Amino acid sequence: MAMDKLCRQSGLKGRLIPVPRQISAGCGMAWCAPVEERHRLRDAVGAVGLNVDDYYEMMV
Amino acid sequence: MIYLDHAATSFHKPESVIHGVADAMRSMGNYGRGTHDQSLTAGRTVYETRALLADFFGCSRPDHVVFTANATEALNISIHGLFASGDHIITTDLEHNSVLRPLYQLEDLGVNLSFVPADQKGCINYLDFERLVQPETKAIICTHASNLTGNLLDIKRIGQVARKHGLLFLVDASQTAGTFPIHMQEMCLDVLCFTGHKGLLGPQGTGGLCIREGIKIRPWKVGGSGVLTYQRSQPEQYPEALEAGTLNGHGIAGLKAGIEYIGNVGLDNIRKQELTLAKAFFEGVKSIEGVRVYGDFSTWERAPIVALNIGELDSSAVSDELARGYEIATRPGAHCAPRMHQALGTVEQGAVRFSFSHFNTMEEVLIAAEAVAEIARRKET
Repeated sequence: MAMDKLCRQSGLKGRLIPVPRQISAGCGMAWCAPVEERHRLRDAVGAVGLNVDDYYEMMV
Repeated sequence: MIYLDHAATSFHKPESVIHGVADAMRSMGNYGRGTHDQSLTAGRTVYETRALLADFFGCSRPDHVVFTANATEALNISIHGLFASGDHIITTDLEHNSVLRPLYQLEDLGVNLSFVPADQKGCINYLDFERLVQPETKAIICTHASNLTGNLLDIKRIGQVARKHGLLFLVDASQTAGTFPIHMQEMCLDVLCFTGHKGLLGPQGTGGLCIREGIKIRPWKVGGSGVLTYQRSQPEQYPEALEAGTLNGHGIAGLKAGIEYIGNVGLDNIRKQELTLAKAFFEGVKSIEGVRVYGDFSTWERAPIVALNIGELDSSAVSDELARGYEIATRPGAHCAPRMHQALGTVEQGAVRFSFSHFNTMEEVLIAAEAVAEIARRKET
């Protein structure tokens, strides 16, 4: 939800989705954004010190 | 949005519930902290709700209805408060993590567990309960209905087994309270754990346990009780023994309104409507090419839940498509029911769960069934 808030406030592209099973079968949410946004997202996350589990690139 | 996730929480609440909470916030103080009007208003509301629930669930004493934040808390209180190392507990593959995880914690402390297995339809063999009884067995703990398949357990039958062997019987009624009649005394229940925000149509943050007279549960949390302040330990009588701290009085007022609503509409009428909708959805999806439905549909004595998959599609992707493309709310993934998914063979894929309220309409059900059909057709092309 912190990621959702950060990206909405910063105008970053993407949205929350149910976590794909390629990442985890055990439920949860993931932030899903176009691949070309990767650097902007990492910069935004780093700037506020948000704790991210990991980054994945895949077809959704 | 077509909301079909009532097994997670009931979205449509009666207006009386919403007003009940708002009115309580305007009129209630903290129950048990004085005899001024605001405190007494709170006290009367809370007491009346206890009495309503005692009657609703066939609990012999209103003061043996203990309020908690939810069923998970009620289950943790009862599971952690009744057993000791060396005890043996029988449970089932149908359980939610709110039963499993406290039991696994007990297992780490020396309690032994046995699981009545479920088959690929999520069905159990009732004879397994007696087969698993040992000299050290102290209890049977099980759900009334699977939150994944909707399959119902005959808790009256299981209660009789427990009573025959002198075992405690704890039931998780999260998916059935407000839909199916539950009578603790008739069904030989010792502890009934319920949540307020699903079938009972109350606010989130409400729930509780009903305790048979004579059962002593060790307190999970201790603190302010409103009585016996100078006593070092928590009071021993219910409900104060298990209700340290301020209750969610505003929420309980809403829960009271929910139970009164169910009484006015009729529990049987609500159940009939919910199962009519669930059955219509099942009939609409069961023959769609590529769709697999999970559970025992040989009977409609079941919770109003239909879980399915479409081919090998990730259940998360299907649920997301239903929400984004069709504005239909469902729940994907593992549903906090790991052993149920293991029994069904759906650990990796999860499942998409549709769950129905009597507030849903037949039109919504038919739209949802057609949405599943469309996604299945697109998958094929």
